[in-house]
Amino acid sequence: MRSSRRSMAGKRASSRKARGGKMRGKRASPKKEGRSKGPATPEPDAIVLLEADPEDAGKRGMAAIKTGISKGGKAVIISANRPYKTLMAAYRKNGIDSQRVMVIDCVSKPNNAEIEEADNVLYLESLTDLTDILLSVRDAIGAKAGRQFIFLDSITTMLIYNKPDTYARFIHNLLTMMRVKRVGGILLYVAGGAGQEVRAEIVQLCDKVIKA
Amino acid sequence: MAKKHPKGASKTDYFARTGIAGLDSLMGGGFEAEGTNLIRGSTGSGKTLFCLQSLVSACDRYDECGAFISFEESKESVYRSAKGIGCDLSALEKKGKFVFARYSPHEVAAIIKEGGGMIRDSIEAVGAKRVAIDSLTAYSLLFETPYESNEGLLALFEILNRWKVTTLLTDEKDVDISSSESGRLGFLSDSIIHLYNVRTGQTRARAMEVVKMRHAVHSNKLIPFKIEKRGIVIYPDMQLLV
Repeated sequence: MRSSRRSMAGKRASSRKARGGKMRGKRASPKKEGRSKGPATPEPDAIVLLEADPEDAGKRGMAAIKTGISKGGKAVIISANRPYKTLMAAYRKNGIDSQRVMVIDCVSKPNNAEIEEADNVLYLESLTDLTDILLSVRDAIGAKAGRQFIFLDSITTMLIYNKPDTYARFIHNLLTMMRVKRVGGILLYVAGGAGQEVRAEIVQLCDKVIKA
Repeated sequence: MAKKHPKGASKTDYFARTGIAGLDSLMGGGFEAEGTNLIRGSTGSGKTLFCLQSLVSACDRYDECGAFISFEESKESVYRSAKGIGCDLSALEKKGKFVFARYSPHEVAAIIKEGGGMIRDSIEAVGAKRVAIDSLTAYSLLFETPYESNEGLLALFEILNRWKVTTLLTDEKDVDISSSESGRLGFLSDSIIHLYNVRTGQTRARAMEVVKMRHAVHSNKLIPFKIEKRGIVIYPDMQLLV
């Protein structure tokens, strides 16, 4: 009886491990959801939903990237909001080392913005080609050595251009890939924005929700 | 028809490697060696590049000479397309490892009636083991009735099988992602690969599918791919999101 109980607990633990969940003591800790004044600080493999007020979203996102990089990580940014050129200027202003950032720019090409060729940027044709975004993230993760994290900016903007069910599949695919590759990440969601029903789907896939 | 793959035999004897990283295992080993392999897709889906990449890879990596028989596109245009994915066909031609030949569909029909002599000469000139024929669409249009078309295709396939080369045939056709219809051409071919170029909002996404392998168990997945400067890159562990 005792050994069978142990075996069941072992199975549950492996299943949690496979899902990327964390074990603390005998029980897995429940998903944390709370309000924080500080930046989201991603643990190496953790996937965090950062829910920010519209006025603060940019600032909170920047702080999260800065913290992740200061901990020795390299950031892969999926940008649906700002073009590469603007992002680089903002990173410089905030003391973020651009060499530790790879940008997947989904904004410049669709809007005929200026394309500045660089080693740390990939320009994509459209925000609606979710397959291309996924493949590009995979390439970016594969190309960089060392600890990495993904910053998605933002769920809210991408939902303006994509159907909620397709977008939920995209997030599921992205997060599964991150779990398999053991890459953590921060998904930025603007509070009160579009896609409340998708938010619920996404929350259950994340390790932590931070309301900033 | 390709040689049947007996249980336990070495795969390399019965399959020709595609030259596209990751695709061989999805096909259960690769193209049917000395068989007819159909690459089907709509305009711009990447059929010609697929064939060129496979031919050049076979030349470079496996020392297998290749021939490209064009029924429509000019030599300049094909060579320029190859250059776009980093393949220098002129250099291979100079080394005697590659040959390009262009025939009009009418010429092809006449050549086939006479046993395929002129085309065979082109292939034998370099000892080609892998031959791409691009595309069958114009050839099929020569025939007025389905019966004649069927006869014409049968004659072509018989000749290709006699030559003991691995053939890649392209077929320009809008393939429905949800359909499994392969037609007479598909029935005659030893393997079929469909290339899709699917609309996703403002743009299109690419995917491929191994539809048939006569002598191997193959993957049934829809595999996203990209055309990059180094050629076709497939992502077997990813999904197409439409």
